[in-house]
Amino acid sequence: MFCENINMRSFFIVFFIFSFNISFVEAFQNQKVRVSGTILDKKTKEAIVGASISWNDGMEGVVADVNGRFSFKIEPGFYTLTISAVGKKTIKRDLKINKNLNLDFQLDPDVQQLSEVTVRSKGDVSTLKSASMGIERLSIKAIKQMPPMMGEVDVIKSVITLPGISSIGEGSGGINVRGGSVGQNLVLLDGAPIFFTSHLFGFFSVFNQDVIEDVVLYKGSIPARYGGRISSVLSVETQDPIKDSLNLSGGVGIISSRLTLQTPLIKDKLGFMLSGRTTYSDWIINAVNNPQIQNSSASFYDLNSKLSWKISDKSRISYSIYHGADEFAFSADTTYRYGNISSTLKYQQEINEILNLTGLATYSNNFSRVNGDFSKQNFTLDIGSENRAAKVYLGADLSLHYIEWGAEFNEYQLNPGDLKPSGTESIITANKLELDRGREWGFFIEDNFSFGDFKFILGARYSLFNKIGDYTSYTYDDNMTKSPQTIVETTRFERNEIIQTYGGIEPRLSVNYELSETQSLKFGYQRTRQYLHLIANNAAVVPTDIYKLSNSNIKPQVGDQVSLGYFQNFENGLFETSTEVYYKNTKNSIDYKEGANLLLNEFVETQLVNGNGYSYGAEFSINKTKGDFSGRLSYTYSRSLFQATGSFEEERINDGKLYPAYFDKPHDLTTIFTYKMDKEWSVSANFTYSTGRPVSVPISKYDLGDVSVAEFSERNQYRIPDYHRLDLSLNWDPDNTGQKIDSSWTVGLYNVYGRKNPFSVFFRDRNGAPPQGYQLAILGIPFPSLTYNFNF
Amino acid sequence: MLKKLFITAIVFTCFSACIDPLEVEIKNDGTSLVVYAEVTDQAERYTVQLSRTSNYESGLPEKETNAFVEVIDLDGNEYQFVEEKPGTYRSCPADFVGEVNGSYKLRISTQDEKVYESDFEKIIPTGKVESVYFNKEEVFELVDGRSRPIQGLKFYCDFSDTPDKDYYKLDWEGTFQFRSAPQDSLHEYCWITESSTMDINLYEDSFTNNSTKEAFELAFLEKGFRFVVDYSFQVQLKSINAGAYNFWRLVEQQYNNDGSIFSALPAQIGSNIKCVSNEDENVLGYFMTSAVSSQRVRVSPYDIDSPNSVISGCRPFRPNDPIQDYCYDCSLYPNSVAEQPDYW
Repeated sequence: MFCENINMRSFFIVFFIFSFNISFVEAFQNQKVRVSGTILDKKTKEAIVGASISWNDGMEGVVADVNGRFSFKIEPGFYTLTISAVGKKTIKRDLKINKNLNLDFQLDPDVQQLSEVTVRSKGDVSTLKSASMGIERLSIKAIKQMPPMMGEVDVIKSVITLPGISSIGEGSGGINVRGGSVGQNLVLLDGAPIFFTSHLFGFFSVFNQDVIEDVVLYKGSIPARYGGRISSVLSVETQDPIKDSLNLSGGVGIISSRLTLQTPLIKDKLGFMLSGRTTYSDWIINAVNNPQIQNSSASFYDLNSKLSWKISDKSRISYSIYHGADEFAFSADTTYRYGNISSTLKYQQEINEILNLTGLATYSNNFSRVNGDFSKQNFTLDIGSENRAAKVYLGADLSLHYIEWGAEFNEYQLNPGDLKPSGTESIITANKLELDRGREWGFFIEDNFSFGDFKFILGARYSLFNKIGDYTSYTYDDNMTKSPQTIVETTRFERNEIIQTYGGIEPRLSVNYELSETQSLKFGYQRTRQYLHLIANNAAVVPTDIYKLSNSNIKPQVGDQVSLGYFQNFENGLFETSTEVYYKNTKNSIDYKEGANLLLNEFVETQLVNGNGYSYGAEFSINKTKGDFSGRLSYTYSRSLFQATGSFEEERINDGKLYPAYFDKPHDLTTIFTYKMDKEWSVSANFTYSTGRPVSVPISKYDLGDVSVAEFSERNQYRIPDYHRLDLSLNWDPDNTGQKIDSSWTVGLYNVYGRKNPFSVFFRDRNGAPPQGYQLAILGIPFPSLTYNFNF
Repeated sequence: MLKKLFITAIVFTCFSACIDPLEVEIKNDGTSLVVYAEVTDQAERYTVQLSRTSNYESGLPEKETNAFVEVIDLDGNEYQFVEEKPGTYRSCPADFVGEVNGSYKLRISTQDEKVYESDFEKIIPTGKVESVYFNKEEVFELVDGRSRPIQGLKFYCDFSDTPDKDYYKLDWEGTFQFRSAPQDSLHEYCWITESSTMDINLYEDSFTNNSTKEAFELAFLEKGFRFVVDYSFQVQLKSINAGAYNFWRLVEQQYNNDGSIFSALPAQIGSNIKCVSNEDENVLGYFMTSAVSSQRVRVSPYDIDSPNSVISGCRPFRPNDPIQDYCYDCSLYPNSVAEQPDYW
């Protein structure tokens, strides 16, 4: 323990010394001059994320940051600067640069180009040239081009179309990134972690399309400033409401509607945004001719707001809040309500031409409440997770190097279950499981530099986790599988007392070798550590899922991933292709004992099985970004396997053999196409095919008296039939130039040919049929939608 | 009920025919022994049923015949079970009655000279049934996508648990008297007994320890033949071990699993019986021990109005219509006996 503290202190010291040394390093810079400035949207005065500025015919360039700010050093001379961004008209500027310059650019929206671009990996200069890989960036405009589901275009649904990303199907409510489980993704909304990422059992994501600016998914090359999850980081940023005039936008669909107001409080200085989205899906439920379903109800809402203040040209501060919840009942007696609250205070400042500072303070709380209304057994059950985090990092642009370093602190307080009787008559005994508390520190540094034809991103993160009290810690008999009966010692820890410490270095490395103007080869390695585990024995994400922190009995998960990529552009960048292969190994990955009982279980660690996860794959993608016909074709071959390493029978799933994870889907083909018929009409199609996911199936039946019971196979030894689906949409975006209201219509058809894609397998002794296995498709019919969108 | 949390059932977006028979080719060779055995603290004949697993697409499970079945207590006393009909082995209450706090294990030697043994299972004290009662209710059954109301009686009981951690399985047994057809000159009445063989009613008290559980729902019995004359409903509150509870919980979970997002991933259901001669051999089923508290309630014909459909079937419309055997002898009706039960 003492040793760990020293480590932490020395990290702080290094951190501060480094901060002061920057100006010293500066003195050694050569005689280049600095060009900095902003790239903004001419109409909205918003920063354009991913906007780029390039010179030497696009050979060199930089990408603007989230505030639209860019800065680079360049040798004095004559240059033609090209400023471009997705969905914006490109501008070129001839300039003599012989001293430090501050340049501001404003780009017009390019209606033509907007529809041509379907999905862009990154800004114009970066895919091939940057060292990082495994990074997918989607602009909301690109997302809006995809066929909608139930009338809503969706961040998560769009992300699933990318190579290496999959889900187990409709209703799953989470994504699997490169063979990782749902709980291994860090999903951030303006930097604050979000736990429930979907509404209505995965049909909608919690991200309202009207407030989202930008979505970045890191499945490899996770920057050192991120940590805490094994597989990926999905960072979603909301729009900046600093504008010069009021803007109202929204949409009306058959299931949901949304309205967003963005208004300046002080023109171009202080802006405010308020957005809401709600659903009226109950009518669908009530239309179903089934009394049990008719007693059901389901609804959700989202509220986003953001206040943003541009203190000066060099600094700004923003505060954003998200609140969203779902409520549903399958019968009159049990109601579920769950959702997230998150808020972010963000401060950004350019300290000088070299240094910039970003500070974040976030709070997130995901909550879930079950209300039971039964005769004399009324109860409420609360489950939730609270997270408070602060993060500070500095970036130093030293022309040859871009160095970023900082620190992060997370405090968790998880409520794994609190059962209370409601009403005086209820015989339910209150049962409150202990809060699960912990602290996680992260210290990171990353250097982005070039060396000949090589570009490097070299980073390291040191993460440190303390499981803290108050907590009752159990020691189990080493000679038997963990169970409440094998506890040999019970230790009570006081509040904030450190019970267990884990930590370690997480190296991150990305290398890009430019083979030629249009070809590059990349290599990446990353290590990630995860101290917060999703404990859920369902295939899908449900409100009763719990999270658990590492403790003496649950070790942190440690993931190592190596990846290799080859990137080539053809026809002057008309086609972009990429090939990436990866291998990932996750230590202390979690699976469950047979028939694990996880809800309100004080000894939940006794239900877990430890093991190693192995995943590997190859991802191919070809992207056509320009022309009337644009789109992407991607194919992924991947495997995700698990091996339980326990020493007792209960902990050796399938006798300790390797077996596929329930989301292992080897073949995954996705194509997205958009054809622009004319200036106003376009049609999009999305086809996806993947191998059916592994399941355990009934292999024989037996009778216990009159009850037929199925003998299930070893875990995940069979597969449900393959998944495939076609979606279509027709967009009409009339030319509204000069008009006040900018409106558009989208007609969509999800699951065009009504494929009954199986979601799960179960065994049933049904009336009128022999006892046998059945498969369930959650959405087995074509699902049409109509949406009207407006913006004025 | 808290357990509903686990079994909540419906996926609302599924409008029609989203459930289809599983299309997977199963590779499975050989069958496993299935044991269904119970010993209680009641002076009654205990039953051990032995069978084999079968392919679920076809065939009835094969019975395991000519096995040597015995129950052994901690002192090494052996009580033999006799094969009464193929695969069904029964004890004799004169030889052996289980005792509360006694521990027993089951030993089976099969024809092919394999020996199977269960763990020692203890009979733990049970709670107390305070009352059993019923209500006239209507439930809805889904037939071909349409809901149809069914009238009948719903049976409930109140029971108290012990101060210790308890696991219960609640079984029921109903016996009814029925009037024989006018053609039957031998008997005036016969009796039929039905039981909870299809129901799995489980309860554990971790959230309600040491209290009286009220209105525990036991069964819904549709109105009809059974309620014409007189019906006696008995509830049996059985204290079972944690292992047996977990076994039945998984069976119930499988029974209620509809594949929805709330359903836990299907599990293999372990057994407390192992093959002594081959550790790796897969054995299914469970040897269950319990202490029983029971109580009866009588249903009179005035509680629910029911037609005697069986007797009306004995009235021919035309002289040549065939008449069933049981019209002449009510004890020939399936599961029927002519002797009045001793508690009647």
